[in-house]
Amino acid sequence: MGEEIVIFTVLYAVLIFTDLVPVYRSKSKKAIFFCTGFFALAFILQVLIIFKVELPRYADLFQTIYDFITGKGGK
Amino acid sequence: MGKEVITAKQAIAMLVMFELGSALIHATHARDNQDFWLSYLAATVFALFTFFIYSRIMILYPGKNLLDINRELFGKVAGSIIFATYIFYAFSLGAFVTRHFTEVIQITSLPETPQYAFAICIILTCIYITRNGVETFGRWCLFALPVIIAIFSLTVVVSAYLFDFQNLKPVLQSDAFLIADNAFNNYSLPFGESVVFLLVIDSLNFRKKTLKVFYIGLILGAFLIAVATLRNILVLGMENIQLLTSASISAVSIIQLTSYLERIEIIVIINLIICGIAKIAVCLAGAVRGTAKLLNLNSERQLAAPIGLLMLMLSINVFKNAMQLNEWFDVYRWIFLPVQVLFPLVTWVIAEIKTKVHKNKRVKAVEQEN
Repeated sequence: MGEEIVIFTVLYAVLIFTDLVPVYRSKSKKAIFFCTGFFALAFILQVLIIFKVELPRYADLFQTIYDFITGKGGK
Repeated sequence: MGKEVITAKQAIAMLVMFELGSALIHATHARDNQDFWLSYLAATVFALFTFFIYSRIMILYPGKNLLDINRELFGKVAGSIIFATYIFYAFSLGAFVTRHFTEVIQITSLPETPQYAFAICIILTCIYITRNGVETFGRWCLFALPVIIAIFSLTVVVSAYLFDFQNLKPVLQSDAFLIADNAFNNYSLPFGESVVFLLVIDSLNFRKKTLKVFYIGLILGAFLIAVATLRNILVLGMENIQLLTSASISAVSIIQLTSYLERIEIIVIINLIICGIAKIAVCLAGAVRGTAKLLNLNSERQLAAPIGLLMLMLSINVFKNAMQLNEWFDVYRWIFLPVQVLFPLVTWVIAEIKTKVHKNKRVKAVEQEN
């Protein structure tokens, strides 16, 4: 887990420095809002995954919908 | 990136590499059998029809992107929701393909390396490609495709001594349902996935060439995948293929021409990675471009890194393990069928009707003036 935290922190730090700083400099409020939002969302979810917090899995969600539609869920 | 243009040749190269992306790993579906060519043919014919739809949508509204077209046909709210589903699909597909590749690389080559290490490398490359724009990406594809075809042809030629034509028997033993089911599989992956191209193809410099681009790309891609499938069946046989993670890698790994030419699966893996990166980059570029249009942002390059990181995160969390990834395909082909076929079909029908009505009105107006 330790190396994962270091690798992802460095990755996010580099990308924030190269991508988010120019957005702040551009002073476009909309771009700042969405870019910061997406970065923050990705980082928070990544940290939760690293700390092994059980997040709902994308495939499971769609599997549930598929089973509901095809009637396999009730069997 | 919005003002960038790609030539027809670059678009064809992008489309072929997109199709080869995960199709070369998946070249032979689990339920495929000796009659794969029949199901492949059916899938290709259906893809010709859907590609015709995609190109007509683009030709009917020259100079407009998919968001503008959807908004014009379905209204602002419904059009934006439909467009958002295309973005969601492109984003999800990028994550699936990333996970598929990391899973295959870990199983076949580097079992001790964590998957996130490969995923980071792949996604960083795709972010770099997306940030440099579709034009640069198109030029890269045009350069890479001949190399990929050359390597692919080499593997087919050097594996010829292993071909066992008994592996193709029995012929025409499958029932119609199995052939239709396999055709559906072969359509969903990779041909149906090409709908993502609608988010990127508005950069094409000459819209009337869209149909030609789609058809040449489809036929070339389908031919290469069919040859890969044939090679795998001839070398390994169906029974072995159904037990393997990646038939293409396994088929090439057993080639041994004297003691000097062996273990050449590494060049196939390089091929797979290049095509995979091209596919994920198209998905990322589509998602980034679509999101920027939907949110009405001036520059879409700013979104490449945050959306790429979200894709990376999703690729890590999307499946529990390789088993779930394999089972997921049955769900995937049904769940995303509306995005692959239904939405473009409805869009095309409404676009044709509206264009015709509009044309008739204009003709009547001119007649009345005269």
